Amino acid sequence: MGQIVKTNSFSNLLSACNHLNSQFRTFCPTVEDGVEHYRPVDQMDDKQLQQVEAITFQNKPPVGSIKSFLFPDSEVYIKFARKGNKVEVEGLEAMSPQIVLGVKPCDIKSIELIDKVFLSEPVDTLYQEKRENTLIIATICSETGKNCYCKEFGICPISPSADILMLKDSQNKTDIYLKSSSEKGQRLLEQLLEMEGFTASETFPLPKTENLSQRLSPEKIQKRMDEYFESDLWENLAMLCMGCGTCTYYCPTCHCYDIRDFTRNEQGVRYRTWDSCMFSNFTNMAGGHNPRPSKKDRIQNRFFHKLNYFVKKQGDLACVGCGRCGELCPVGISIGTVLKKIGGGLNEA
Amino acid sequence: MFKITEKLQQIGAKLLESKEVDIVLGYKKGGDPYQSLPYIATSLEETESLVFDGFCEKSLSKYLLQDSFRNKKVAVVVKGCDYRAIKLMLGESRILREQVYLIGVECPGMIRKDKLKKEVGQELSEIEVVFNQDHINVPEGQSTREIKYESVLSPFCLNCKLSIPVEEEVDTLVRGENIPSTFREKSWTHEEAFIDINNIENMSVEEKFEYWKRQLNRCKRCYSCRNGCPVCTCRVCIFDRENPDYIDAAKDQLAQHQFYHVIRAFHVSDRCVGCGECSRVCPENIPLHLLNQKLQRELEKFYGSYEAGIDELPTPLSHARADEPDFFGREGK
Repeated sequence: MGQIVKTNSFSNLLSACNHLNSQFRTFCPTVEDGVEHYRPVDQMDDKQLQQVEAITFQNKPPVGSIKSFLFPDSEVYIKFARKGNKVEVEGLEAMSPQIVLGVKPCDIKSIELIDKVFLSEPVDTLYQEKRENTLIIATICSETGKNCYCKEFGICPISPSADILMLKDSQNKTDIYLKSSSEKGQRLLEQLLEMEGFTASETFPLPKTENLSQRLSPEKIQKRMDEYFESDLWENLAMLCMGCGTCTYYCPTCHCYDIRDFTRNEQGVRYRTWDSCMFSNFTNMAGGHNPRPSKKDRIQNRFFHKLNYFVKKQGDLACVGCGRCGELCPVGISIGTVLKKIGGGLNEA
Repeated sequence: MFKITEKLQQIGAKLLESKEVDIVLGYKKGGDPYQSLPYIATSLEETESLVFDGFCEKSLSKYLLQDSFRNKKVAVVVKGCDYRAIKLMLGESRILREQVYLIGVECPGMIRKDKLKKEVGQELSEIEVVFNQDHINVPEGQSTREIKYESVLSPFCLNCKLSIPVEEEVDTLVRGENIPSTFREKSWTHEEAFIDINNIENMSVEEKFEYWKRQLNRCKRCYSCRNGCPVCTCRVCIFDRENPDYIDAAKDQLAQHQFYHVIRAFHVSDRCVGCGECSRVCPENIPLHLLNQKLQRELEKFYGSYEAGIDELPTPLSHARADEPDFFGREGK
């Protein structure tokens, strides 16, 4: 492993991906109606294709995160129908492999965190299938973005681990280098080498690794949170919070879901769908009791899950510092708001 | 800018000091210079953070319905559109007049950050933008470029029906200085301010369907449009019911998104105060206001002009009259 492949323009890579369409569906970040999302390359118009390169190499992740590829916002997993006296149940066809290109270091780290939840026993097979069939091509940020806290969360903006790491030559600004670090990645690079415009390379222009001395200690944050359990902070945040689900749905590490049936007449489907702990019916029980009746309880739970419970259970903070919550929250509440409030802030904790 | 901030801070401090109110609900600057966020001041010291500028677009009126505000006497900073929403809440007995102290502000119109960014052509955090009376100066190389204020203003504000709350009905009215007025001297009609809706009305049925399909397919049902709307005030929302048969939670079903968005727009159609919050809060940039605007246009055809929060209650759809137009019943029979 560790094959390096070079091509002299980003568009070569996009056309190669289109060429491999029968094997893989490729998704890249682009702009649709002013929002940055991963979209299938084969469905992009010329204008969107032109924007892919700039967005792929900018110093922040797109609005939509990688998690939708491994844990879609809604997925049907059983179909059922009544036939006479019997119920017929069928599963779904196996998914076809996909490539997601241009994933930033923060999102790569978020996959590691969600893996801890879904791939530990009992394994979530829906997630596992997507994880195995998704080839991730990561890219780096040349510097930390304006709203980003990745360094505080110990994520080096220049060395993500994925199937393939993609870099742009900092000298001539057009050459693209790809280096594999998994078997899946290796196989793709071998295929690319057979195509016109791709050559093997000895060198890989990885910038110097950055200093991560700003890193927050998960244990320290977890302890601080324990001290703040009874604080007014949560009520104060709840007073301004609007109670929508934006923070949870755009967070790359939020992974709560609900399972429901959708039935019409004699047939139906069972699906799982994202759910948000910011909604009051998230914890509503069948008997009518709601253990988190107020917005204060819900907002407190959300931050405790990220900065306390996850540390206790999985040994890491459930935040990758991507900055999406702060950017998208209509009233500007972010993980940084809480970290600054619990003292120690982003710099001393 | 506009010298409203200083006056607000003084008023806030006075109200807290005299214990006339328990909290002052206003705005403070966010981490980004072009961001103002809702803020609660409870002490004299905290009133020093109060601000008011062209980025205070969030509607504060909706907070008054929350339980955590109900047991307090709240002074709230209101722009014209917020005042309109409060007038609806008062008329519908959702809040008590003596529970709130209204600090009306003369609104300069709110700036759309996405429009400003487009005009400026780079990330807003990287440059210093200077606000002048009716234009904005943006550094460009060695020189500066002028951008007309009206070209970055929210179309809702260009078409604003009430930029200053009614003086007799608020407790204090704060007037600004150097409020850009050029855009108000020209009276913008609905057609001029909202170009998009005219474009959509000219589309064929198929084009309209494709347009809305693309927009609504991005919806994640985060409900920020519902929660941010100052007139979407039902105690229990139909979309919060447990497992209702009429809507499905799946987030990839276009029909369900259509159902949600059409119901949302219908429910606020005759109550819309035109603040534009629904479109602004949407993380997917779905132009939700177009649905509201379209419904308002249609309502006007049937019921005549009605401006929620300016004209007296009841709103056209909240009551019925015998001589009302009948769209469904007698036709063709």
